Amino acid sequence: MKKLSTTISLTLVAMLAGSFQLANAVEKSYSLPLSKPGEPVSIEIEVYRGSVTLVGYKGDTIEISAKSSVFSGEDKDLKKVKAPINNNNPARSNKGLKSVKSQSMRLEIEEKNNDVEISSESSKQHVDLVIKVPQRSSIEVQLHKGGDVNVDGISGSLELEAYGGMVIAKNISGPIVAETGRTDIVVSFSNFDKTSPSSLTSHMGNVDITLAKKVAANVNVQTYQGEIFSGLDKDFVVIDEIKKNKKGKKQKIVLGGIMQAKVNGGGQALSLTSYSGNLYIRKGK
Amino acid sequence: MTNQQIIDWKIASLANNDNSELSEEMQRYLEQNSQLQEELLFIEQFWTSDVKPLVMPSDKLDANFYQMLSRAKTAQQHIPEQYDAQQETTQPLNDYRASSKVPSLSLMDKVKSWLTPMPIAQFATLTLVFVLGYNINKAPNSEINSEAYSVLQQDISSLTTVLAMSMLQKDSASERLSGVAYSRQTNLSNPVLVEQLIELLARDKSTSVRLAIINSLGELESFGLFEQQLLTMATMEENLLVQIELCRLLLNYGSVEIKNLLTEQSSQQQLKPEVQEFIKAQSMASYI
Repeated sequence: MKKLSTTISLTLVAMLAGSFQLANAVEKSYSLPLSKPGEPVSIEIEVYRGSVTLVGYKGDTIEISAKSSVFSGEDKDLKKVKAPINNNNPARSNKGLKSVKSQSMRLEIEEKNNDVEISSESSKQHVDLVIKVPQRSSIEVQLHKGGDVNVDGISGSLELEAYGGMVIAKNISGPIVAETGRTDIVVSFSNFDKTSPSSLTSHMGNVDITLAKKVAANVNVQTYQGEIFSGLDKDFVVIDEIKKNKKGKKQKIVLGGIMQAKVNGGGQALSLTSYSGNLYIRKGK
Repeated sequence: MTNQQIIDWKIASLANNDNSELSEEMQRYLEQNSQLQEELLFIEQFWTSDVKPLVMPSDKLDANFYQMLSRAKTAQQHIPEQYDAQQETTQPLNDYRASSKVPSLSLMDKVKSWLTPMPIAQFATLTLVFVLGYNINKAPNSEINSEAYSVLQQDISSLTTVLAMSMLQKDSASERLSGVAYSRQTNLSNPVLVEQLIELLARDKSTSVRLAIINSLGELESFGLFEQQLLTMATMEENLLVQIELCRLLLNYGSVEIKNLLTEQSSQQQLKPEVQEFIKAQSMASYI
């Protein structure tokens, strides 16, 4: 019975009537207790359109607050591939009738053995999620369109992708792997994890990091058309030159490419890459 | 036939989830080598256990590790004089070796408990103890010591390869980045590992992982059979950052033929304008 209780999968498909209604918007909160309190937590979030804010706290419940509204705009990158079906029915009159806007929200939340999945995949819905999670949680977020991914005070590993908005992470220790298209990545490290490398890649946006004084890391930077601005005491040096001397008897020195600064004696790798954005490396407190 | 060939076969079969049997020649070789049998068992258990992410060694830690290996070599060279005195101190190692023959679970428990709190130091210790356990109390002479040292290095490389391949299959991008970093530590001497890296390069959803793989491929002595595949990837790639880095890799370390092919494609405007511009700039730089 005990075994069974640990493997119970909690699946909630929330078709929720608005408990607090703004104009065309539905707001709902949900508290999800973990099935294994105190143990590692893994959270995977996929939102098609909207924003995601994650805040770490000292607790063992996932507190989800969701605000959804109907998306009535058009995706410029999507083309209509099929004409509407013509069923030959006569047009109905709506004279004297009021239009009733949809007040439902589709959000799926699933939990099994501390593995939590939250998803909103409807392209017709804009969802703003604010989620309180245990600080130790490992988090993966994919946000396809809309706003930003915001993370604050989480000490677990982070994997964040935002294709429409920014990735903003504060007070984290990584490891973090983040990627954006045309928007910025802004990360402030209060500490830096030694277990795995971290990497921040923005194709066309800027990457802006702040490192707390105690952070030790090998900071690697690479931008093709952007500029690099550093507030670190350590200078950046080209690392390819050193690497290629190792190639057996043949020596080949290649200049360019990645530059590195060993902060506080060096440590785990933290790579910052952009094609046309600038890279900013700031020294924090 | 060498131990390394059999270890490489084992790693490849674990990585590909392939249950094919050893060739007759390999089987005969293995039957005569109980040490290798135990080593394969260890690798299999190491692979199937849930390996936690390990700390990447800093340069300093790395240097300390190799100093430790060097000390191990020196110690072995002085074993004849110190052999009697060391009998007492090596006893725990002998006990440890003996314990590896009793239920394998206890060994794995030990390995797991070592892997968690201070991982890289313990990984180094684990490797050292594992190999010294096999070698330290053998009748020493300089030839055997040199051979033992070489075996020690091979074993470290094999374990790092196993670890790298295991990490490359993880769901987390950060762990896959660790796998790439471990791959670099092996100097990419195992072709199965290189194949796995190139396969991951073709399909990984994370640009960070793909860029790290391209960077690590610069460690290869030559691209060999993979060169054409890398050229195809470079020309077909849609991710601009990945495409540019693939071109940089081939222009810097590829064969003359591949460089010419790539430059030709660029001049025929088959690549993105940004990539053409990059190749042009690289070509101009190479004339300076």
